[in-house]
Amino acid sequence: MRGLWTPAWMARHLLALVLTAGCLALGWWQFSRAADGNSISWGYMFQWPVFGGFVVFIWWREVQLARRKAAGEPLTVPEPPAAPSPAVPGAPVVLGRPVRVAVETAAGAAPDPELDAYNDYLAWLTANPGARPSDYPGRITT
Amino acid sequence: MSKESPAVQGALTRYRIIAWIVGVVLLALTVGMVLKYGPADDATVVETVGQVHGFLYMIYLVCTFDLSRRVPWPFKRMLLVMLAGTVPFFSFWAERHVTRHWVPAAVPALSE
Repeated sequence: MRGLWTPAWMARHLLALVLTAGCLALGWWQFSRAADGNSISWGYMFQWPVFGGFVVFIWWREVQLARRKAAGEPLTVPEPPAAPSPAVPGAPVVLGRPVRVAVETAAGAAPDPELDAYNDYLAWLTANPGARPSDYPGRITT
Repeated sequence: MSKESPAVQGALTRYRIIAWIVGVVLLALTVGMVLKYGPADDATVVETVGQVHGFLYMIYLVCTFDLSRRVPWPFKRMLLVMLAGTVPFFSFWAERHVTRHWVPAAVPALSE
Protein backbone atom coordinates (compact mmCIF):
# COMPACT_ATOMS: atom_id res chain seq x y z
CA MET A 1 0.00 0.00 0.00
CA ARG A 2 1.07 3.53 -0.75
CA GLY A 3 0.57 4.87 2.82
CA LEU A 4 3.59 3.02 4.21
CA TRP A 5 5.99 4.18 1.49
CA THR A 6 5.71 7.94 1.86
CA PRO A 7 8.96 9.82 2.62
CA ALA A 8 8.02 10.08 6.30
CA TRP A 9 7.43 6.34 6.51
CA MET A 10 10.64 5.60 4.60
CA ALA A 11 12.50 7.59 7.25
CA ARG A 12 10.77 5.60 9.99
CA HIS A 13 11.59 2.26 8.36
CA LEU A 14 15.21 3.35 8.01
CA LEU A 15 15.33 4.56 11.62
CA ALA A 16 13.93 1.26 12.86
CA LEU A 17 16.45 -0.66 10.76
CA VAL A 18 19.42 1.42 11.93
CA LEU A 19 18.39 1.26 15.59
CA THR A 20 17.83 -2.50 15.47
CA ALA A 21 21.13 -3.11 13.72
CA GLY A 22 22.86 -0.77 16.18
CA CYS A 23 21.43 -2.62 19.20
CA LEU A 24 22.48 -5.99 17.78
CA ALA A 25 25.95 -4.64 16.98
CA LEU A 26 26.32 -3.31 20.52
CA GLY A 27 25.19 -6.67 21.87
CA TRP A 28 27.84 -8.37 19.72
CA TRP A 29 30.45 -5.89 20.92
CA GLN A 30 29.55 -6.65 24.54
CA PHE A 31 29.82 -10.35 23.76
CA SER A 32 33.34 -9.87 22.46
CA ARG A 33 34.21 -7.85 25.56
CA ALA A 34 32.73 -10.57 27.77
CA ALA A 35 34.74 -13.19 25.92
CA ASP A 36 37.85 -11.12 26.64
CA GLY A 37 37.19 -11.45 30.35
CA ASN A 38 35.03 -8.40 31.18
CA SER A 39 32.48 -10.23 33.30
CA ILE A 40 29.83 -7.49 33.60
CA SER A 41 29.55 -7.43 29.82
CA TRP A 42 27.64 -10.72 29.97
CA GLY A 43 24.61 -8.85 31.30
CA TYR A 44 24.85 -6.08 28.73
CA MET A 45 25.17 -8.70 26.02
CA PHE A 46 21.65 -9.92 26.85
CA GLN A 47 20.17 -6.44 27.33
CA TRP A 48 21.07 -4.96 23.97
CA PRO A 49 19.12 -7.50 21.87
CA VAL A 50 16.08 -6.81 24.08
CA PHE A 51 16.30 -3.12 23.20
CA GLY A 52 16.59 -4.11 19.55
CA GLY A 53 13.51 -6.26 19.89
CA PHE A 54 11.65 -3.34 21.43
CA VAL A 55 12.47 -1.22 18.37
CA VAL A 56 11.00 -3.93 16.15
CA PHE A 57 7.93 -4.10 18.39
CA ILE A 58 7.30 -0.34 18.16
CA TRP A 59 7.87 -0.37 14.40
CA TRP A 60 5.37 -3.21 14.02
CA ARG A 61 2.78 -1.46 16.20
CA GLU A 62 3.07 1.78 14.24
CA VAL A 63 2.68 -0.06 10.94
CA GLN A 64 -0.44 -1.83 12.22
CA LEU A 65 -1.82 1.45 13.52
CA ALA A 66 -1.28 3.15 10.17
CA ARG A 67 -2.93 0.25 8.34
CA ARG A 68 -5.97 0.34 10.55
CA LYS A 69 -6.21 4.10 10.19
CA ALA A 70 -6.00 3.78 6.41
CA ALA A 71 -8.69 1.10 6.42
CA GLY A 72 -10.94 3.35 8.48
CA GLU A 73 -11.21 0.90 11.36
CA PRO A 74 -11.52 2.15 14.92
CA LEU A 75 -8.09 2.57 16.47
CA THR A 76 -9.14 1.41 19.91
CA VAL A 77 -11.60 -1.19 21.00
CA PRO A 78 -14.47 0.61 22.74
CA GLU A 79 -14.64 -0.43 26.35
CA PRO A 80 -17.83 -2.14 27.48
CA PRO A 81 -19.93 -0.02 29.83
CA ALA A 82 -19.04 -0.59 33.45
CA ALA A 83 -21.37 -2.96 35.25
CA PRO A 84 -23.43 -1.37 38.04
CA SER A 85 -21.37 -2.08 41.12
CA PRO A 86 -24.13 -2.69 43.71
CA ALA A 87 -25.61 -5.48 41.58
CA VAL A 88 -23.25 -8.10 42.96
CA PRO A 89 -23.23 -8.52 46.75
CA GLY A 90 -19.74 -8.60 48.13
CA ALA A 91 -18.33 -6.72 45.15
CA PRO A 92 -15.67 -4.10 46.03
CA VAL A 93 -17.13 -0.67 46.63
CA VAL A 94 -16.03 1.71 43.90
CA LEU A 95 -16.29 5.45 44.34
CA GLY A 96 -16.76 7.43 41.20
CA ARG A 97 -18.14 10.72 40.06
CA PRO A 98 -21.73 11.36 41.08
CA VAL A 99 -23.99 10.66 38.14
CA ARG A 100 -27.34 12.31 37.49
CA VAL A 101 -29.94 9.60 36.92
CA ALA A 102 -33.61 9.88 36.03
CA VAL A 103 -35.81 9.60 39.09
CA GLU A 104 -38.37 6.86 38.79
CA THR A 105 -41.86 8.30 39.00
CA ALA A 106 -44.51 6.84 41.29
CA ALA A 107 -46.59 5.81 38.29
CA GLY A 108 -43.84 3.55 37.07
CA ALA A 109 -43.41 1.82 40.41
CA ALA A 110 -44.82 -1.61 41.12
CA PRO A 111 -48.28 -1.64 42.79
CA ASP A 112 -47.96 -1.46 46.55
CA PRO A 113 -51.28 -2.00 48.47
CA GLU A 114 -49.79 -0.80 51.77
CA LEU A 115 -48.58 2.43 50.24
CA ASP A 116 -51.92 2.97 48.50
CA ALA A 117 -53.78 2.49 51.78
CA TYR A 118 -51.49 4.92 53.58
CA ASN A 119 -51.86 7.51 50.82
CA ASP A 120 -55.64 7.10 51.04
CA TYR A 121 -55.46 7.65 54.80
CA LEU A 122 -53.39 10.81 54.31
CA ALA A 123 -55.83 12.06 51.69
CA TRP A 124 -58.73 11.49 54.07
CA LEU A 125 -56.94 13.44 56.81
CA THR A 126 -56.36 16.32 54.38
CA ALA A 127 -59.97 16.29 53.30
CA ASN A 128 -61.18 16.33 56.92
CA PRO A 129 -59.00 18.86 58.74
CA GLY A 130 -60.84 18.67 62.04
CA ALA A 131 -61.00 14.88 62.24
CA ARG A 132 -58.95 12.73 64.56
CA PRO A 133 -57.00 9.75 63.23
CA SER A 134 -59.27 7.37 65.08
CA ASP A 135 -62.24 8.67 63.06
CA TYR A 136 -60.74 7.28 59.83
CA PRO A 137 -63.40 4.95 58.42
CA GLY A 138 -61.00 2.83 56.50
CA ARG A 139 -60.27 2.73 52.84
CA ILE A 140 -63.32 2.94 50.63
CA THR A 141 -62.74 0.45 47.85
CA THR A 142 -64.56 1.17 44.66
CA MET B 1 -13.68 7.02 26.41
CA SER B 2 -12.94 10.68 26.80
CA LYS B 3 -9.48 12.16 27.09
CA GLU B 4 -9.52 12.31 30.88
CA SER B 5 -10.24 8.61 31.16
CA PRO B 6 -8.80 6.80 34.20
CA ALA B 7 -6.73 4.61 31.85
CA VAL B 8 -4.63 7.63 30.85
CA GLN B 9 -4.19 8.68 34.48
CA GLY B 10 -3.07 5.19 35.43
CA ALA B 11 -0.55 5.12 32.60
CA LEU B 12 0.69 8.56 33.66
CA THR B 13 1.20 7.39 37.23
CA ARG B 14 3.15 4.34 36.08
CA TYR B 15 5.26 6.53 33.79
CA ARG B 16 6.00 9.06 36.54
CA ILE B 17 7.06 6.40 39.04
CA ILE B 18 9.43 4.62 36.68
CA ALA B 19 10.73 7.93 35.29
CA TRP B 20 11.67 9.02 38.79
CA ILE B 21 13.33 5.70 39.60
CA VAL B 22 15.27 5.65 36.32
CA GLY B 23 16.30 9.27 36.89
CA VAL B 24 17.72 8.48 40.32
CA VAL B 25 19.51 5.32 39.15
CA LEU B 26 20.88 7.25 36.18
CA LEU B 27 22.37 9.81 38.55
CA ALA B 28 23.97 6.98 40.53
CA LEU B 29 25.34 5.58 37.27
CA THR B 30 26.74 9.00 36.36
CA VAL B 31 28.52 9.18 39.71
CA GLY B 32 29.82 5.68 39.04
CA MET B 33 31.12 6.75 35.63
CA VAL B 34 32.99 9.66 37.20
CA LEU B 35 34.50 7.29 39.76
CA LYS B 36 35.45 4.71 37.14
CA TYR B 37 36.94 6.94 34.46
CA GLY B 38 38.08 9.72 36.78
CA PRO B 39 41.20 9.74 38.92
CA ALA B 40 39.56 7.44 41.48
CA ASP B 41 39.55 4.57 38.94
CA ASP B 42 36.94 2.64 40.93
CA ALA B 43 34.46 0.58 38.89
CA THR B 44 32.40 -0.84 41.79
CA VAL B 45 29.43 1.52 41.40
CA VAL B 46 29.22 1.05 37.63
CA GLU B 47 29.32 -2.72 37.99
CA THR B 48 26.52 -2.65 40.56
CA VAL B 49 24.21 -0.06 39.00
CA GLY B 50 24.86 -0.64 35.29
CA GLN B 51 22.84 -3.82 34.85
CA VAL B 52 20.01 -2.58 37.05
CA HIS B 53 19.74 0.61 35.05
CA GLY B 54 19.49 -1.38 31.83
CA PHE B 55 16.49 -3.36 33.05
CA LEU B 56 14.80 -0.35 34.61
CA TYR B 57 15.19 1.60 31.39
CA MET B 58 13.40 -1.23 29.57
CA ILE B 59 10.44 -0.77 31.91
CA TYR B 60 10.66 2.97 31.33
CA LEU B 61 10.45 2.46 27.58
CA VAL B 62 7.40 0.21 27.87
CA CYS B 63 5.59 2.62 30.22
CA THR B 64 6.39 5.59 27.99
CA PHE B 65 5.11 3.74 24.94
CA ASP B 66 1.95 2.78 26.79
CA LEU B 67 1.30 6.36 27.91
CA SER B 68 2.06 7.82 24.51
CA ARG B 69 -0.46 5.56 22.80
CA ARG B 70 -3.19 6.21 25.36
CA VAL B 71 -3.05 10.01 25.26
CA PRO B 72 -2.14 9.77 22.22
CA TRP B 73 1.08 11.60 21.31
CA PRO B 74 2.67 12.16 17.93
CA PHE B 75 5.40 9.63 17.11
CA LYS B 76 8.25 12.14 17.42
CA ARG B 77 7.14 13.24 20.87
CA MET B 78 7.17 9.63 22.03
CA LEU B 79 10.76 9.20 20.82
CA LEU B 80 11.71 12.49 22.47
CA VAL B 81 10.34 11.44 25.86
CA MET B 82 12.03 8.04 25.54
CA LEU B 83 15.37 9.71 24.86
CA ALA B 84 14.83 12.23 27.65
CA GLY B 85 15.07 9.34 30.11
CA THR B 86 18.75 8.87 29.22
CA VAL B 87 19.95 12.37 30.08
CA PRO B 88 21.02 12.88 33.72
CA PHE B 89 19.08 15.63 35.56
CA PHE B 90 17.15 16.51 32.39
CA SER B 91 14.99 13.42 32.89
CA PHE B 92 13.37 14.96 35.98
CA TRP B 93 12.52 18.14 34.11
CA ALA B 94 11.12 16.07 31.23
CA GLU B 95 8.88 14.12 33.60
CA ARG B 96 7.44 17.37 34.98
CA HIS B 97 6.94 18.77 31.51
CA VAL B 98 5.13 15.62 30.37
CA THR B 99 2.85 15.65 33.41
CA ARG B 100 1.96 19.33 33.15
CA HIS B 101 1.72 19.94 29.43
CA TRP B 102 1.45 16.73 27.46
CA VAL B 103 -1.20 14.79 29.36
CA PRO B 104 -4.70 16.20 29.86
CA ALA B 105 -5.37 16.98 33.50
CA ALA B 106 -7.50 14.61 35.51
CA VAL B 107 -11.03 15.57 36.39
CA PRO B 108 -11.58 15.55 40.17
CA ALA B 109 -13.54 12.49 41.28
CA LEU B 110 -16.05 14.61 43.16
CA SER B 111 -16.68 18.01 41.65
CA GLU B 112 -19.22 20.53 42.88
